Amino acid sequence: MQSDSEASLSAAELRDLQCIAGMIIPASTEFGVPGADDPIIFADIMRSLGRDRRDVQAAISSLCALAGGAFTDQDASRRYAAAGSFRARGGPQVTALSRAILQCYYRDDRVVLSLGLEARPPFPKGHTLEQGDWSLLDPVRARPKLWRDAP
Amino acid sequence: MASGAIYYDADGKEQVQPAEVVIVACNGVGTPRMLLNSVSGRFPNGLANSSGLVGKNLMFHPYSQVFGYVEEPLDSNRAPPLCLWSMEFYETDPKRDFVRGYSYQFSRGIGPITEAILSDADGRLPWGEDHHRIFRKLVGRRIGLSAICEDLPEEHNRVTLDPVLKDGHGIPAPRIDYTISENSRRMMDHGTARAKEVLEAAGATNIGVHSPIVNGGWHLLGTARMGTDPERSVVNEWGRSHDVKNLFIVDGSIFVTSGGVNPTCTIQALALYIADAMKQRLATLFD
Repeated sequence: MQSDSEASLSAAELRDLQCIAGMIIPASTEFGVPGADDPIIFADIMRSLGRDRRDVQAAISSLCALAGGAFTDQDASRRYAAAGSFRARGGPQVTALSRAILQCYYRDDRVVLSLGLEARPPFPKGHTLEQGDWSLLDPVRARPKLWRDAP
Repeated sequence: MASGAIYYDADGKEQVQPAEVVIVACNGVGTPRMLLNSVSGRFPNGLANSSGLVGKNLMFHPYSQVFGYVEEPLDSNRAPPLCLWSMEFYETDPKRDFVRGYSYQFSRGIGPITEAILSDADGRLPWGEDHHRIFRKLVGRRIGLSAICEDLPEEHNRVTLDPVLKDGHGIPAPRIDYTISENSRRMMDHGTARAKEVLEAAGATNIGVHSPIVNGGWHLLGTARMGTDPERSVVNEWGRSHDVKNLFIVDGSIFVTSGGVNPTCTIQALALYIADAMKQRLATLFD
């Protein structure tokens, strides 16, 4: 079943967005991580577009215009040049496109584990932290007070 | 005396809620918007506005934020990112070129999603092949300070009613006019300079500045200020309108300066204080 975001993007837009996601964050054998065009991550991106959908669609349209046609059909040099110009221009389209991709990429368990983090939220299990050197605060505690007493 | 409140329900139907006491708690934009829209023959300039100060003296918390990156990981995924506060520059110091001051909020590390989004927006995280290498140098290594600056009241910073824009019920929307004052600007610059010194002493590099930050600190304060003089304030020293004896305001709009700290605890304290004041005065509350 398609989500609202998938339903509202055309097949061409979906193809271009997946291509753009893989350009922004490509897969890496060096770090053992998928790209943002990975099917699981891309499905999350599509599910999560929400209020950014229109700006993301506008971003795809702008990138196609800068590349001179359907983004995916252009050769790599044209795509990279278009992406560079688009990013340099800035604005809400760039912000929405980046956020849509980055927020889903960096919550994928495989990516989180590759960063040396546990693939779980801090709550409810929590973390036990070793104590730091609290004597660092001794000079601060020894200072005279620097605030006024309330009347 | 106020007799209650008129509002639109979820179906858009006008309703009347009678009340012995009316308490407005819509904060620094919503409260003046409601009062300024509540005009009548007795209050042609808005309810409780004989002073003309409803909507004036709007204050925020301009934040100056400085951050950098350190070599060692900061364990940012295992504990709250805000970890230290300093009030060292909170009080007026005649040697400085501004009055009042700010508190520092220290942060250490942020999670991968926030780091990626912020560093992408700043242009320090590349798109393409180098993305992963650079990201691993940034994530969990960001250390920063934010100076929460105490804005002061200026009548030209204000909430008025927009002459054109209306909500779905046709009620005029608020219009905001605000300029960061020279005093607040100097305070922010001072906070930025001291924060850079702290970060450099801590060994941070790749230092960045956002001043003011765009996505935080815009707390809505001061537009129905508290005071003993009915000509210079909207509510008295225990939150009651000078003009309407059973109308109270309990939110950030009664602040007289913004204070250089996040305001929620102070608003909560004011709510408790005003409730206590009302309780103690029950027999003479409307005198």
